[in-house]
Amino acid sequence: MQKKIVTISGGHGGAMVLGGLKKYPLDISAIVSIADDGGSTGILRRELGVLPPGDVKECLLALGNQEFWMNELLTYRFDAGSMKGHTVANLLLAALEKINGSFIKGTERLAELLKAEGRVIPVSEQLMTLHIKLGNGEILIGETNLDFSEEIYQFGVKDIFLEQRVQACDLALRAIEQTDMIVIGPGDMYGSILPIFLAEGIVEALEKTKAKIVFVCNPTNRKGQTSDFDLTDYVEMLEKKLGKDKISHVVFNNSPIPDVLSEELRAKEGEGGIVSIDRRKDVSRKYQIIEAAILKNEKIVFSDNDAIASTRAFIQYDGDKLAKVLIKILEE
Amino acid sequence: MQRKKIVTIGGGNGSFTLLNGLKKYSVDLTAIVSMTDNGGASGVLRDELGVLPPGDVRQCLVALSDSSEMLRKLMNYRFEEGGLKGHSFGNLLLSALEKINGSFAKGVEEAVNILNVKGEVVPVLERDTNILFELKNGEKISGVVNVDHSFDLTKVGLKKASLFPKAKASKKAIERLLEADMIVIGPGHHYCSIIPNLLADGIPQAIRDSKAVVVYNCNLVNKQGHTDGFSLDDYVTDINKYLGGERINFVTFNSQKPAAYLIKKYADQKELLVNFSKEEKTDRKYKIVKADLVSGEKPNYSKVDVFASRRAFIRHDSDKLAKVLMMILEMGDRENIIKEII
Repeated sequence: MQKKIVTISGGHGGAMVLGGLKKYPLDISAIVSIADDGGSTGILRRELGVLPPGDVKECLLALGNQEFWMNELLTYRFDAGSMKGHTVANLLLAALEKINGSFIKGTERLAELLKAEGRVIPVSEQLMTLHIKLGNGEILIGETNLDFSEEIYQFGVKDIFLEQRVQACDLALRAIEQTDMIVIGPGDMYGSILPIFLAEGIVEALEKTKAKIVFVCNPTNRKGQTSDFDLTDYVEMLEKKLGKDKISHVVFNNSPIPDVLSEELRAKEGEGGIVSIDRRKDVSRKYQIIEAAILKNEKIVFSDNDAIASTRAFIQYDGDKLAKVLIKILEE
Repeated sequence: MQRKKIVTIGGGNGSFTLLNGLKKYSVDLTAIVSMTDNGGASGVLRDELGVLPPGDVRQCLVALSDSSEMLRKLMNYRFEEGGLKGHSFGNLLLSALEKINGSFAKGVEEAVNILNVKGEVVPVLERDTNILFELKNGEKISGVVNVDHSFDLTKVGLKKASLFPKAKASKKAIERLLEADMIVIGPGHHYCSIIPNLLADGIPQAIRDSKAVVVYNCNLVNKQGHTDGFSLDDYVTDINKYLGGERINFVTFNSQKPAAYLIKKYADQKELLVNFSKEEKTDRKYKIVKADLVSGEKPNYSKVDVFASRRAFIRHDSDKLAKVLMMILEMGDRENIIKEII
């Protein structure tokens, strides 16, 4: 029987992992955050009252088998008029949600259209509005603040929470309970990963599951959010939400980051931008660390009309390299 | 036997009806579509994105699409709120395809692939242009929207219709007309969809030169301010004028009175239904095929479709119309065998 894998991620990170995993004979479910409210997605969310299509769409495109030109079409971003900044795929998913009456059904229809090798499950069908608590006690409302708020740089994020309870959807819970392996990350911790654990039922489902839980540690930190973090800090951050000693494996990149990129990173995020690993802390760890060279070689280029391009990570992992590591963990 | 080639000429709604019926027969279909719409969502896209108007082409693509019901629904889905209100997903898709491919025609070809279209959809022309109507009092009306809203065509009278700037018909449109076994004109808005096709440089000549049987599907109702009191013969005479010769061979004409509740929709319009009197004319070079062609269905337009109130309520029935056209097409084959049906 095919092994089951569940990924827990945002858009870009999820797309990368899924693009690699789909080449293996696996039963893949991608659980995706719905806290996003910036850029094109934010506008669609506010104006059409749809659930945020951005992250779901990216994961579906990664799992899909569309031809190259189709991909070009779906990722095309309008550059003028009232549709400026929207991608064709975001509009497509929004329209499919409207036609089918539910986000999950819309997502399923898009998966069919793209002949996706796996399913993408929005963590909940309820709108999720992220509340961000800063170091000075102030509270910012909306995920997009994580991308653009100066205050975050200044005071740092202390925690995120929801004011209104959001119930995880059954599909997501069942996927977690029945899977062989769960892959968390990479991705923005506060913006994409942790919000998934805020949906009610997810932590309990993780409690019940017998699956291996693998955390793919980010290569870079974000100023004000994960400044100066090392591997242990990331794991502790996760454990605060999903409970202690749940993580069984951590994948850590050990290929060096090219000078050009680390310079650029220093300019953008300041010092401490690259995630370090403190091997001396090893003793108390209940999880196994797998170090591997998983960095993508070429530089990532974003569209000029992408309103949040500046916030997207430009040092990224290679989906194929990462998938190889993950398969090894799955089979061990 | 070689498959017969049918080329249709029209706008969005009329062609949609026509193609939905014809596609059920094993014929090669090419839909030539007017490209001068500048109203509604198409007009906004034209203005904001600088693309060609996608609406009419979209309707033809959907009609000929052999893809899932979902994809067809999706293409016609209109957003109902926000900045996207009124835009159909299909129009946005076509505009994106035009932008990516650098030309509207190439974009349409891609759409044909995506939607698994059985047949061809050919924009009649490929440049940004508008219709320009000059009235008998010298008044000039520019663009489909203004022409559509004007009542002066009837009141004052039309002197000359043209495109501004002038535009050549697409090569493909001309090729297909020349190769056709049958050319079907209409149904559709007379001055906003049908005539604009004939204004593209090269189209009238191609129709004149073609060996095809030319059929005109006469509209069911007259349009206020445009064709008040037009009879079947008036329509044909007008179209022949733009064709530059008496080229129409057959005219289909509805013989069935539409449902009363549909007639009511056109509240105070006099001379609503197109009239035909055998005695009106004696020297017709065209044959008139009378048949029940009217649809009994209630049209269902989207509430955010800004044109919904202006779209036709009394419409042709796709299947009835197609059947009559196929009979006309086959008549050509049998003419040599059956000498006369008395």
